[in-house]
Amino acid sequence: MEGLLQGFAVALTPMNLLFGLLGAFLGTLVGVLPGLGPIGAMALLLGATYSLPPSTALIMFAGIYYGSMYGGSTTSILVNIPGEPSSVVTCIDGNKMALKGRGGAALFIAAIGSFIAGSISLVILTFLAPLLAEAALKFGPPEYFAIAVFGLIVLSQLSGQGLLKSFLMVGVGLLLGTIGLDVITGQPRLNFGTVKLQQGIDFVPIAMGLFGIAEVLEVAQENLLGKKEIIRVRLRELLPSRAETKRSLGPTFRGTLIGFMTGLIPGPAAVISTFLSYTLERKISKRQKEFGHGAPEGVAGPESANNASAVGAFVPLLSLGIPFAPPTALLLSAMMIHGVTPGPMLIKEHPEVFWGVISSMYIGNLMLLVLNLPLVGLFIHILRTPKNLLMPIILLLCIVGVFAVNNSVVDLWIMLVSGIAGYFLRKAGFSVAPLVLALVIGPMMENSLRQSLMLSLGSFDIFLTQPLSRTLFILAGIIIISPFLWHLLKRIRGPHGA
Amino acid sequence: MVMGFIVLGLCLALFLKEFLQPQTQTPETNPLKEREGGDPGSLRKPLLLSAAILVYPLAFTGVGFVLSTVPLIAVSLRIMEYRGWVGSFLIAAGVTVVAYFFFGSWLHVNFPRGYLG
Repeated sequence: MEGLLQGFAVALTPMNLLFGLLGAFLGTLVGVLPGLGPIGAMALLLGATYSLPPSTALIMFAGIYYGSMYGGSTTSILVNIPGEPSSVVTCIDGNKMALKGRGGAALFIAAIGSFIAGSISLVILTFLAPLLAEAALKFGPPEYFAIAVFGLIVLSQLSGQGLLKSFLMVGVGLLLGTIGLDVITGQPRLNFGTVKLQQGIDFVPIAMGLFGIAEVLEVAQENLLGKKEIIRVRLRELLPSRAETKRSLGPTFRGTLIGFMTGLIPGPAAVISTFLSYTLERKISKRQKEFGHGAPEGVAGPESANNASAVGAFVPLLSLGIPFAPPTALLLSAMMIHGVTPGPMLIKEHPEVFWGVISSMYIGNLMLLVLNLPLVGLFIHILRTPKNLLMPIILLLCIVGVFAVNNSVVDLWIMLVSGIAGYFLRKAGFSVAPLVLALVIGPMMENSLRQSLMLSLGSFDIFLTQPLSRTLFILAGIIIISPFLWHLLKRIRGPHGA
Repeated sequence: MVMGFIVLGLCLALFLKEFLQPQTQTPETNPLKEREGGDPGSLRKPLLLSAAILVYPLAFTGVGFVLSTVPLIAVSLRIMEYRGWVGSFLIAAGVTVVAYFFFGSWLHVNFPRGYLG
């Protein structure tokens, strides 16, 4: 409790309040606009935060991340275009509500649901993160290696593009992570004799290429001449009816729980949580036939879930120092740039950062609620910016943003080449999230592996003698073989079951 | 090295999988991939833009940030059919110059000036 009060003292300073507000606003903006996304926005601003204190910079980045979860719903409801993948599900019922003249109510339900989910998840985060960090102090290299392997395997399983493709992406990410100086021997590796690659490949240009430039190329292929109609909403139409409010309460709380739990799991948690929440609500609802035709449950559940998952994703980042989703990987980069090493020691070494970020999220959540509904008109106005003007500007911002970080032309090359590669990978049905996370986790994973082997004098038994790493490896094994076993079981039972 | 062989093995496995099980044409069911309009088969525009993107870093240091970025943004505006060539160049020049001064003075980003330096 003392830590949280200290955090509020940090978060409530005028400068941090201002940057928290700026982050939340920018987050909503990138959530509204399809294309840039929270990763691109954070990467773009990475260079701008050099002169800021670490807590201020991180408060702003956290605001961008959870603000984007709020923003995505606006376009889903009013235009039927999800600003973010995590708002795809909201399109189903949200847009139908808007077509029936209940767009204002849908926006209100989404905003209140997001606020309730964010607030409840923050309370859980406040208590859970320090406990996990305390437990993680006892972790050694074998445990960290096992957590990293387990995380990447779960991520590969959940990215939905087939295990083989996901593993391939993980492999490429791990390989890219080995470029540069060997952290233990100091030997340069895979740098093709150039000094420029000795520092390794930075995560930011790769992420900006794979998410930003690839999106620009993908949009270039679309027919941009057709215009989507934007449904008008008046402020007085914002309040939902009593029946709609009643129907939204249950889904909001269930969505919060599902979202937070999913946020702890590696992978595209926000997206998965919305699908899980929608499926659950549809299954348990007495009005199943209304789903797909404007059921408020279909907005309240998924919108609560994606916000709760965004908060849940902070637990492994703040307590273990391991990012399980691309946006938290960028937060990790931001922390490193500011000389803050996330992990179990963060709460002891930088309590102002740890508690400041958590407290700022309480304030930011409230700010988003107060700001978002009155500003719907502004966001809709921004949404009218044609995509074929917006995308070249995003291309320019990506170039400026990536160059600003290190003033390096090599970074520019890396971003542009990985952007083109990302576009073709998307076309071929590959998910790039496993690659990005493997690139971030890779060096830590390699370090833990080698430290473990040094401790055990080269014996791999160390991973099986430690209880936690043993459990995680067994679970990882089960996760890998379960689809095959399931497939086999279905084949055996198939003729009789049918 | 081990990692490299693993990745190579995975590539071979994927190749064999695709080769031995030719995929039937299924409609796009992933809602995340849903795109409005457009011709999904046409790669002309992305390829043209990719070519422009690959030429850009070659000119970036020598020609300078402004003189290399204006054509790139103009070409991308033109490829995306926003305006004609003149309009695209004017918009590109405007946003590039704004970005140059905004990031250059606010963030102290040291952009190469090239011929303008």
